[in-house]
Amino acid sequence: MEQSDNNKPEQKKTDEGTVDRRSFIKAAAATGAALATGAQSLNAQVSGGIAAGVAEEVEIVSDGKHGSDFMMDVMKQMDFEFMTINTHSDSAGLQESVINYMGNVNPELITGLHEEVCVAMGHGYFKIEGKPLAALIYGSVGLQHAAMAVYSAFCDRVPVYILLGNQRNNPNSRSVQDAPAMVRDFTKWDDSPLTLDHFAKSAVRAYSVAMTTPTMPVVLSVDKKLQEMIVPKGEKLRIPKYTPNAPPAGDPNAVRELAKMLVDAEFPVLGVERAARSQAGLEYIVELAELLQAGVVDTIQRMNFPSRHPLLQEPGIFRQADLVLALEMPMLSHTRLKEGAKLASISSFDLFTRSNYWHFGNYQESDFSIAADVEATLPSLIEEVRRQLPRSKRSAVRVRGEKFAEINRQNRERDKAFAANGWNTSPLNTARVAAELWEQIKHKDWSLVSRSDGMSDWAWKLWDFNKYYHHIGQSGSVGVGYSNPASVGAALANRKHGRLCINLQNDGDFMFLPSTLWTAAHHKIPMLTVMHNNRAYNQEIMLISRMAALRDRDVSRCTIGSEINNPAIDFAGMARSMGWYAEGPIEHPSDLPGAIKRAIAAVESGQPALLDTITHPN
Amino acid sequence: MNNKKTPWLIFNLVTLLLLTGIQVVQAQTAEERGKQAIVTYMCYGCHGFTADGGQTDVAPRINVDRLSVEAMMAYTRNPGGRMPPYRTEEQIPDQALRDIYAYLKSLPPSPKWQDIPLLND
Ligand SMILES: Cc1ncc(C[n+]2csc(CCOP(=O)(O)OP(=O)(O)O)c2C)c(N)n1
Ligand SMILES: [Mg+2]
Repeated sequence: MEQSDNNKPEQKKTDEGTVDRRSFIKAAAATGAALATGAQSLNAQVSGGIAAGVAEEVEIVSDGKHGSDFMMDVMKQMDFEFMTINTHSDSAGLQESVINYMGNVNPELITGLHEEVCVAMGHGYFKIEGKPLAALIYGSVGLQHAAMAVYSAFCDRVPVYILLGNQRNNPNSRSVQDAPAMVRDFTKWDDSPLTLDHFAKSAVRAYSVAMTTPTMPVVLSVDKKLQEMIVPKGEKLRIPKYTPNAPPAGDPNAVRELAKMLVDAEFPVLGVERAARSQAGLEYIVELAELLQAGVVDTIQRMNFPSRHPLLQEPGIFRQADLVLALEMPMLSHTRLKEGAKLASISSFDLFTRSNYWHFGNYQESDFSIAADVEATLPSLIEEVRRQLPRSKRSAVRVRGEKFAEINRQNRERDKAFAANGWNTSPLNTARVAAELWEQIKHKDWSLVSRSDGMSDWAWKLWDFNKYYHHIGQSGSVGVGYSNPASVGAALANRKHGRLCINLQNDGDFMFLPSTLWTAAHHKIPMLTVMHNNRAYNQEIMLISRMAALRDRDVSRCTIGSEINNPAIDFAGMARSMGWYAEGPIEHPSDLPGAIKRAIAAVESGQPALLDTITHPN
Repeated sequence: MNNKKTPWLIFNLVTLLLLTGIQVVQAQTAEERGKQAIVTYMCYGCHGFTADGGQTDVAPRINVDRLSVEAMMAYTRNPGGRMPPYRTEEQIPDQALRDIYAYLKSLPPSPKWQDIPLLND
């Protein structure tokens, strides 16, 4: 199977930094659909009378087929590598079909001990794999558990293909009239099919909708009776043809105009949020930035831009720009720009959204706006900028590039000076933890499968992130409890590539779904979890202390309700009890290198490993 | 045992305990008290246990080499930026602030980043 993600399409470089125009356009056009939708993998997998390119409609004549076997026939073409499951009676038909009809292969069942784990694993998995996994959960009680993970995926523009077992002809406490209703405010599409034919059409549509920009979770409620029915012999069933959508690319005239704005700008800055969705996207952003010698500010919701690139800037630089181009960054506001500066945007946000949850923030008052998929639009924008950039501007472009590089150098030195403060202290300095880890992973093929905004961003500041799979970005919703299971999902996607997965794990987030440990051990998902154990919900402690101080009241009591101490949690013991290699608590910096070495050895032998590192709060 | 003597014995024992107790308290150095005060008064939540600075954009290092004890105390009572104001003696006594200062002064200086191989890769 060809990897649809993470592989930049062939581009013929004619010399440093330039691309042969014709091959460039060809490559850009070719990537469009495939990279956006994971279509390559989908098409490559469909067999049995299905042509390469798009899946053809297939007719099946029943020989007394079980309904759920047919459902799997339909889902086969979506090539789900995994299906997370928390078992329940209303999906017994489907589960049995996966086990015996599919042989537990494509999809392979992954046992989650909580439905939030099942969906959040799908979230992390997509951010490495570029295609969704399926999650099979109980439509009533199970979906209630899963809800926050669905919301996080929605906010993060991540498709998870959610199947709900339900029973509509037998009202009881676990059956529900309209199962997907509970998450309709934060999913893109859902259906509750009434017949197998209806299921087939909706199953393919759900995949298509989920994978079209803006990508999002979808839900199918699958009735128990439908799963368990026997299709009468001789009855014909159809698997509808699936045609992946090419992603919406920016209107050529608008792209031309935007290129002119960029070329004319004195000090342009790119703001990037969920801009790249593959290695190709990352490389396009680098190419555009280098072509213009524009600064780049990254909120790191995706692995958009290399962490050590000299054009990487901090948000304060927006104030110096005369033009900011926001790439899938719909909340960047004019108030962060200097007066008179222009704000342009390419974003898919307005192509689809929901209204009830205010994840969208304030309306972005941009001066020029293209509603499109960023990655699909960048090739033509790069091409236009290259065409329009006059020779006479070259030296000015070079000079501003040097200015950005100098700012970047100063920022990095300042960070290193911060990192050195308290270098030898106990509990551990979080910069020290990140640096000690980097020392031992930097020559390996690694992937940070957690958020990078914990531990005061030290991993992002000190490590050399330059590949799309180096980082899965942040959580989307900022809902605590996302990180632990999402990291296991991302590690699951990385497993076949043999990448060393690192999870920097906050203690508070961890304790929402500690059973995730068991899932990783049971399914032999190797990864190294390093605790940011400050024995607290420290973000909240900071806020509450501040509140007390502002009210001239007792600050010393403000751990009440926010500490995770007394008793201190034994994370290493907990991990060992669920099949992990674990060490800790580790409080002294001199104990770190040996512990990291032993833990990596365990991971490289196929076992997940945890280090309980006791740290400063931030 | 003489019953009349019992109250005296208890009185003496209590006095002894109190005195040794007080002595123990007094035996604690300003540095030791300061280390505890950083936790008690929640400074650590933002600045870290050794006040080396928390998140770079949240709380800076308290640099006692550049800051006098008076300046640190004055700033704590009436800070700028996002630092919460500890305006009253009830919120943090002057003595605790002096102890914290003494503790921070007593800490060995951090190495320079240029001298740390891990920060020069
Ligand atoms: C589901 C959910 N509940 C509560 C919160 C509020 N909240 C924001 S940060 C935080 C603390 C998180 O603790 P931890 O993961 O240990 O990170 P730390 O603050 O200690 O760095 C909480 C509870 C939230 N964001 N999401
Ligand atoms: Mg914590």
